[in-house]
Amino acid sequence: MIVRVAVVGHIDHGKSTLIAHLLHETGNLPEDALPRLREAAAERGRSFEWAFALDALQSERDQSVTVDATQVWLRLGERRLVLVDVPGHREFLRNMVSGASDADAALLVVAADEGVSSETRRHACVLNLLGIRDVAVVITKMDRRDWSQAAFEDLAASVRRLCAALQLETTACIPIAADTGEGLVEPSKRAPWYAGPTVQAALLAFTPREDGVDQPLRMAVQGVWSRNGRSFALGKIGSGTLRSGAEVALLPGGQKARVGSLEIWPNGEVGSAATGESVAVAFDPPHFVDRGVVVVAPPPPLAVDRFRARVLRLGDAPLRAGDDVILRMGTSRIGATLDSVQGVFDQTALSFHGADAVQPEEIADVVIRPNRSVEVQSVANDRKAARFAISDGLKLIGCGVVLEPLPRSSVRHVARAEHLIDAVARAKRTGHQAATVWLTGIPAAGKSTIAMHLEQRLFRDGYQTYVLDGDNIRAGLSDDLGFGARERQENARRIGEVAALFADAGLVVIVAAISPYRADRELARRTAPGIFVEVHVKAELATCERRDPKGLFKKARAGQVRSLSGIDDVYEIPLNPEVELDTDRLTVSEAVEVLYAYLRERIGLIEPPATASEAW
Amino acid sequence: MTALDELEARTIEIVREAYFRLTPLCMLWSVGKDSTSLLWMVRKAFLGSVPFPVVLLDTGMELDEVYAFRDEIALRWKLDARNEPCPSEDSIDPSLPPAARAAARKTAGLKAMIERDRYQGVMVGIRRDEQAIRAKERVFSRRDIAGTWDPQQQGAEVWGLFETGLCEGQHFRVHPLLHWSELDIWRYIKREKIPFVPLYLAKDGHRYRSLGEKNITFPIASDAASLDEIIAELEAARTSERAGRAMDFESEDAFERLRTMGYM
Repeated sequence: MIVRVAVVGHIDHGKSTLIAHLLHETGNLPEDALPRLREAAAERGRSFEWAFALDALQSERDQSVTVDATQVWLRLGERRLVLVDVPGHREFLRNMVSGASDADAALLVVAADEGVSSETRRHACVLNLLGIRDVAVVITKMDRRDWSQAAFEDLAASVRRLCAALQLETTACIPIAADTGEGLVEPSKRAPWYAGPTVQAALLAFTPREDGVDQPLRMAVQGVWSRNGRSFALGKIGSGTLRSGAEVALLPGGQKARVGSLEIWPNGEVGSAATGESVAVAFDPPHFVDRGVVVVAPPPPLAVDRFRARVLRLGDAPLRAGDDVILRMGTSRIGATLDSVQGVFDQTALSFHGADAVQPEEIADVVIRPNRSVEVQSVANDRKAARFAISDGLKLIGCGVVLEPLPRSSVRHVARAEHLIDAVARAKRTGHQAATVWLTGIPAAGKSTIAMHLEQRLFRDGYQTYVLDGDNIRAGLSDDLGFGARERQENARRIGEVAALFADAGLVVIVAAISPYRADRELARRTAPGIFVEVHVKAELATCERRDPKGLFKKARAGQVRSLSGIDDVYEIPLNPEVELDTDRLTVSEAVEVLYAYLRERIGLIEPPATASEAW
Repeated sequence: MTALDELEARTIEIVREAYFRLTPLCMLWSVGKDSTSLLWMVRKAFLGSVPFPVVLLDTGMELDEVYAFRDEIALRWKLDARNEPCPSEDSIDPSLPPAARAAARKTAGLKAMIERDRYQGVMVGIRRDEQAIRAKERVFSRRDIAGTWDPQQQGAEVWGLFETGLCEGQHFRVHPLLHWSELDIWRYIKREKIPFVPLYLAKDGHRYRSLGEKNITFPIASDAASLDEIIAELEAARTSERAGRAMDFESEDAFERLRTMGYM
């Protein structure tokens, strides 16, 4: 087990000194290093400097400043750590990020005499962007404040506030003097008031972030290798477990494939491989894959044309809306345009403010528009899959995380024509608000039956309403689509778009469609104008199989129908539907009444139109 | 996964990135423990094959056992092993300290080879813990035509995403072993049963901890005559691995000068 710790903080607050002295105190500095460091200091007419152990470049020693990140091993008993010393100077943020991006945790170093500075703040912000959570705060140079408890506590409180505002977890606040080594391995005798851990103890308390082990499978294909006429996709498993025989989806596109064999040389075939392993995968039947393809557990994530992201600019020029860049996600490279800059992070106010460009070393929220649809994961969903870098084709000029995939609501390069009638005017005419009622559930759960009766019930009471039934849509609008994951997704998208138009026209639109994937229903929710009601129509599988009005289950069991949701294809149960209708317990009319009562609460008639009863 | 598994998986990932992004690619094989371990992991990356040439920068001063081991392994592992003769000492900057001149000869040989064969990538088995200057290296280290290294202008490497774009005349030094320690390498050699030059094992109270040219590399006092004993020795060691390499110590800046000139 290896734990990587980034040591960050303002220039000259004592990061390199801390690390070098700690290496020495813990027996990790070679014996022959000390005399050479003494010589190097004497040559420059200076007293001994611990930092020279890491600041090995001539320019670093001449100016007493760390320029580039250094990584050193620290062995503490059985525990192995990598300490990453990063430069504290703003100019070298690129080096800081390169050193810190893979860290499991961080030491945030703040000098007692200078306190929280701009670079302390910047580094804390970058830790947040990089997804680092655990931070031990080290208050150095306590000797310059005479080990004053009050000074320590004041400063500790302000660093803790900074960390809390940036969702960093402060695991400790440690007073030390790096020059003398007090507080590194042994607690300082001059701080009897301090009962917390030493730096060594705080380091030992860090654990590796075992990212991805419990996440669904994800492996970016680095390239293809052929042996004896068989072709293997090569890659390192980013998350989850890859099993031989497993059904997987290939991105982009979401095409299904089956893992034929999984090889690790020289052992040969293995049954499965876990997160972090580098493997070779052959598909059965063979599938054409290439560098950039991502192997994931089905169902594939939603493909979008735009996403919101938080980025850190690492170049020397501002990045503006309209700029073309290359997205580096996993092993793929995708041309993209910076659609807009939503806000730039102000590290003093700790909030975003408006701006039209991202200046070097700034963090900003932006919208990115790839040149093709991309399946992206939000950072809240999957911390690792959400990461990307921005390249100018030659150099990395930024890095970031996906905050949120954006639905295809605004068609690019198409100006929207504005209606002259708004939702209020339409509601006045219909007598009620528009709404989308989305019934989802496995086949034969009762969606269509409930939908049709609800339509009748609403219509009788004077509502403008219409049912979009999954089978009817399949027979017309979607008759070009099959039942693959991607096609189901597209079908759900079309129903969602049509429903949105009906709702926009002022109707209560009722959708009855299996819509097996959570992401698709979420997309429909975002696409819908106004009220959206997700209704889970649920029944035991056995009940549905007994009902089987279309004979689908029978065919599926006989192998004539494939990919039936609930049987041999996934159905993702709604996590938080507005209404749940259990048709094992409710009759059709009871279910309709439950739903009707709920809708009346939310979209009750403003005033019944005079013609309502005559219309019926 | 164990620590060794993690280190290995990362190295294989880097080797594959280099192979699929940089063409043509070669690897420097000094025949020491590090580059031989790297070669083993290249075979793991490509299901037993080594799909690019492996080059010995030859000053003619390697230890005899090194040449013999090279020939044997090249045959057994079906390697495209190449010998790159380095220019003689007459053509080397005379202001360099004497022991550093061998390194400078290798640098010159490497430069000539890259120019001639137009390599986009040269894989090198250096580690961060060998030397404080190497600790500042990137995994993909961009070099200009002269092969020089400017540690202050290194590109960003974030979340294992490496810069691999090149301008005309540039190449990348690829360092798949940066994250390994000397002890890791020996533990890995033991676990994987990787063959190594017998000079690393003690004979008559001395063994080589690091292999360089005959005239500038010296064995250390040691009784470690087996893999287990080497590992035990290193677990207790408090001296630098390169303590036996004269070129590192002739002057404080010797190694940095060599590296900025393009040494590995």
